[in-house]
This record gives sequence, structure tokens and C-alpha cells, in this order.
Amino acid sequence: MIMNQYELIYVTKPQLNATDLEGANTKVAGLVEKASGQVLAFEDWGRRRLAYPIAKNEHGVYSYLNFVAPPDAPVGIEKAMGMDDSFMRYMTVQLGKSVDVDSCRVDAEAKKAERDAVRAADEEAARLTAEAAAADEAAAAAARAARVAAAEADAAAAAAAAVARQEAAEEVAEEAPAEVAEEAAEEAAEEVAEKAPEDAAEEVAEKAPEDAE
Amino acid sequence: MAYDDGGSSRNGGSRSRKKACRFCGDTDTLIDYKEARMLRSFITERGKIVPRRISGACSKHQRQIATAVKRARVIALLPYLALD
Repeated sequence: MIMNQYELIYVTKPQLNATDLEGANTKVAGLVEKASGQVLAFEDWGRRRLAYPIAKNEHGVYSYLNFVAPPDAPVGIEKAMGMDDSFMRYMTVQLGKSVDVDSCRVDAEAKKAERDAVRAADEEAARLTAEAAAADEAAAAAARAARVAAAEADAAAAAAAAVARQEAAEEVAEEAPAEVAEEAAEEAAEEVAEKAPEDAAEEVAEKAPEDAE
Repeated sequence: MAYDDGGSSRNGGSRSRKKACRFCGDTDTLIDYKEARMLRSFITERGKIVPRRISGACSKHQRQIATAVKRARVIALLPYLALD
């Protein structure tokens, strides 16, 4: 029997629970086997953000299936998937025609291992990034707390200083009035004293000639 | 950039330096529609396929890129159009 190698990627709705997802995966595998095909590799790509919303969903759960099947199998498989609401998208791509099943299996398993490793690395990187972000946030929060504490301390110090200044000012004010008043009185008295005789003399001088005439 | 176009009159403003196709230079890198991250560098911010004169790819690989981008769009790994 002529066997072609295909790969099938399908996106299931994010609302499906684990059991439903498992059921969907089993169903697809069953479809392949019913069409007298053989599943070579299955990969769970997990929940991913879609490049565009599908049926108002921003995310989807991606699954990947590598299988060999007769040439007429993909049509029937896709038709059956189209009738199931769990699948938002599915796409079958032919990888090779009239292939040797055993070599394909080896190849598919090698590729699966490779991609699994890449995905694990990605997840690890994402986790590290998230952790780093969390650490940064914690540090930022600590810094914020420190700043707040410092600001509070400053405010307290400022308040204390203000109180101290006010007290000092009050003290000064209490002492001040008598002295200031005394000084002012003295100055005023001096000025008056200086001016008075001159004024009087001038007036007298001006008036004198008139009187004389 | 794919070419150095200073618009100088000496070479009639035509391309003076052509970038080698990176997939011809590196045969280990295969163009795969499943690797959305790699294909991102071959679409514009709007989601359009980058033309050959910018991407620097040869005819054969540009065709492969175009097919891969189109396949990735079907399963929502890449956008058909990206707004804003």
C-alpha cells in the first residue's frame, strides 16, 4: 500500500478542560488509524497566543501530529475534524510521498526530540525571565519602601526642625519686644533731638529780619 | 539592507551591493512554517511578506519563505494583517 507522510497541526479551543483535550487528541489519533494510517509522533505545544483572534479567542492549544497514511486519508480526517467544534484550526501538510514507514518513524522521533528540547529550553527561558521580572519587581518594591521610609524620616526630621525653629523663634520673640522698643525709642529720640534745635534756629533766623523791618 | 543605494549618478542609482541569500549560505537552516519566530523576520510590522529585494533571499528560498509564511498564517502562528 502506498503510504505518504503527513504532519497535522490543530488548534483546539482554550476553554477545553484537560479531559476534553485528551479526548480530542485521542479522536484525531483514532481518525488516523481508522484511515489505516500510523501515528509516528505526537507533540503537545501547549497554550499559545494566536496571531489573530479566532471565534473571539485570543489563545489556543496547539497540537502536532506526524503520521503516515494512504493518500486519501487526510481529506477524511480533516472533514471529521471540521465537524467537531473543539477544533478551531487544522492543517495537514504532506512531508513525503510513497515513504518507507520505518525510516519515517526514526526521523519523526528525532525531530520530536529536537523540538521538545527547544520547547523545554524556551519554557525554561520564559520561567527565568518571569523570575527575573519578579525579582526586579521585589527589588523595586523594596526600593520604593525604602524611599517611602526615607521620605517619612525626612518629613519627621523636617517637622522636628520646624518645631525647633518655631520654639526658637518664640523664645527670641519673647525677649525681643522690650529691647527693640528701647532701641527704637532711643533712635527716635536722638533724631528728634538732632533736628529740633536746627529747625528752631532756622525759623528764628528767617523770621528775624522781617521783624527788624 | 539588501543593497546599498545611494542614488549616485555613477551607477545610475542602481543597486551596487547585493546581499547573499542567507539560506544558500547556511544550509543547516531550513525554512519551516512551524518556526514562527524565525519567520517573523520575513514579515513587515504590518504582516506583509518582505520582498526579495529587502530580504536578500534567492528565488528558490524566497518561494519557500512565502509558502511558509502563508502556512503559518493559516494556523494563526503569524498574522494575516497586523494593525497598529
